[in-house]
Amino acid sequence: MTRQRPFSGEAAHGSSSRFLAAGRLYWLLLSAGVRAKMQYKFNFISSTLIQVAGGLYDFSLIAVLLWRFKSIHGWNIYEVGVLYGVSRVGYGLYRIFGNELERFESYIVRGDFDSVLVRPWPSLFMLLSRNVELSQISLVIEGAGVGGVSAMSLVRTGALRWTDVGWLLYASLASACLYTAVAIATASAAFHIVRIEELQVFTQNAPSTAGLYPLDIYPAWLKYTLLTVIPLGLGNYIPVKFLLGKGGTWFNLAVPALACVLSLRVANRLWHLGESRYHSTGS
Amino acid sequence: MSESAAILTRHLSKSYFVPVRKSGFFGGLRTLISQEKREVRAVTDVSLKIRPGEFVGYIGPNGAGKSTTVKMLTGILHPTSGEAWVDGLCPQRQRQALARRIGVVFGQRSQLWWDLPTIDSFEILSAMYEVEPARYREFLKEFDDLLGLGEFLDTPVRRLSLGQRMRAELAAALIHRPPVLFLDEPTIGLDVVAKTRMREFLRQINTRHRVTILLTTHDLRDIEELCERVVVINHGHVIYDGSLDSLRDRVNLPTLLKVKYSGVPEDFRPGQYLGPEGERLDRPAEGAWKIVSIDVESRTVEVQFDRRISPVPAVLVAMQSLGEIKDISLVEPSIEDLVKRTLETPETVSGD
Repeated sequence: MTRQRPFSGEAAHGSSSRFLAAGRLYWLLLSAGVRAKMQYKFNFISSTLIQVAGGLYDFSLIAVLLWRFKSIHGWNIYEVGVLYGVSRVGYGLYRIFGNELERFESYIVRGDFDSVLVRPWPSLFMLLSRNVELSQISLVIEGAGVGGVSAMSLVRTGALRWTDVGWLLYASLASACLYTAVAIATASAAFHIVRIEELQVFTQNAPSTAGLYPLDIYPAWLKYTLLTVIPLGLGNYIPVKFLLGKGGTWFNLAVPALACVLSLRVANRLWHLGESRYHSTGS
Repeated sequence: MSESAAILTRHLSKSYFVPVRKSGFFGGLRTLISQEKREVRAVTDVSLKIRPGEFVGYIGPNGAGKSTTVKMLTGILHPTSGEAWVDGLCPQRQRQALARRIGVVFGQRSQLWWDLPTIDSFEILSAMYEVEPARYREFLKEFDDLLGLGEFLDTPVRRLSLGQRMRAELAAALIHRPPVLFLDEPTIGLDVVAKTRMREFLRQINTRHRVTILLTTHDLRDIEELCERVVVINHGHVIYDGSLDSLRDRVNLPTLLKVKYSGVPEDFRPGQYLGPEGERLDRPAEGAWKIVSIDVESRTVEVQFDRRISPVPAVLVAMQSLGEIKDISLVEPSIEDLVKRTLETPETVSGD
């Protein structure tokens, strides 16, 4: 047999083209995920419809209460609707692009994280690009619908300016970022304790639902928890409160960006610490 | 680290701590709240030096520490103590850089996109490893020649046979032309034809492109046909490092031959010995082989012999003199037998 060129691996590109390569790879992986999902169209359509119906049912409950009592702690139905919309859009964006964090427990339990670690990219990037959960777009549609209708009503009454709509979008993006940071921190716990489903209820599910409504309605301990340890309120409640003229200063609008940077840094540290403790499974 | 090593480990160890299970009433609850833990040593003090281009079999029974070692060498697990370098890189500190220089196949875990055509997985992986388009086309051509990828490139991975999928897995692990390849049970579950094809491919990759290969397997035929060197591990310790032939010589494992006759010859009984001409002996003798079992119903006789003294054809000729042979099969010793005998033989560790 003739010996050919020895294998020597593929070198990584320079930092600027590596950024482009990351973008191209992310796009390729996400589109592959979508194509894979589209193999099961019925499942995709039905789960999207169920999600929308469930979300509207949730909001209708609070709408009925507000209709009856007109306001809760000084927030009328349209103001609650704006906060609900901002939070829901942010949560929906997180669920679309960060859904693998929701099911991270199974990566640890089944040892599937092995295949993430043998790739030449950061493990978090590889994990998040494995799947895009398109059916969660229902959350964005529902949030945009409720938030949009409520914001328009407030604009008509002069309680909100047209220019504030941009700030609401910014708050939604910041919320998505904070949901992601909390989910990364929670997922990192799986490296140590393996099972995190119950923990996710405490750090993600319950706070996400609580964050849909004004924090003023909750006891102080819960309100401050949502503004510190699980800082979801910094992305939606703090900026929306100022935009609706319920207190605060322009600094309230800087808070979401600062909270995102800080939370992602902390989450990233926890992730790397956890990664070094990964135990894998038997083969 | 030495430049002449593709894989180098020094005193590599990995331990886990597991809770001590309590017995008696409320045992489960007491285990949960107890701080008492027990150390489980998965790998202990493994020092290996594998040179570029070597094809090494890494064998041992289930739970011996093979996969744990491979996972430490690929950067998946962090060792408790000791050091490792693969192609000059530290798997834990330089994991991402190392991923470009190694290929990994876990026989029981797919790295392909299950619902998509096989070609899509290759395209994604070529982008992931930043393979130039010309090099990618070259890869497709070469691997189509070697593995016949072309016949199933457009088929979704979930519809591939196990043999096809393993061919695709191997190609996927080599798309970025890594100089080191880790194979963890790549032939598990494959039929004889698929195994033969895979072994032929691995031999070619090793020879043509000087790829260093570390293979863990439960199939001794894989080792026999491919590996010039074998490392045996048991309970986390390396108990042998050298050639398979010299391991066989040391542990002297008998080969088992099953012979099916048209009628079982009379006066055969288990425990009897047969001489080189097929004559019956009542006690062991040099060059004699032993009747292990006789199944009258299936008319099958099993004999054990030492291949170093009695070549298989000679045994067959002698067996033929005892009756009309309908079928024969040769059963090689299992990895478990090999490890058991290695442990019984003192001072078996050798190698570098």
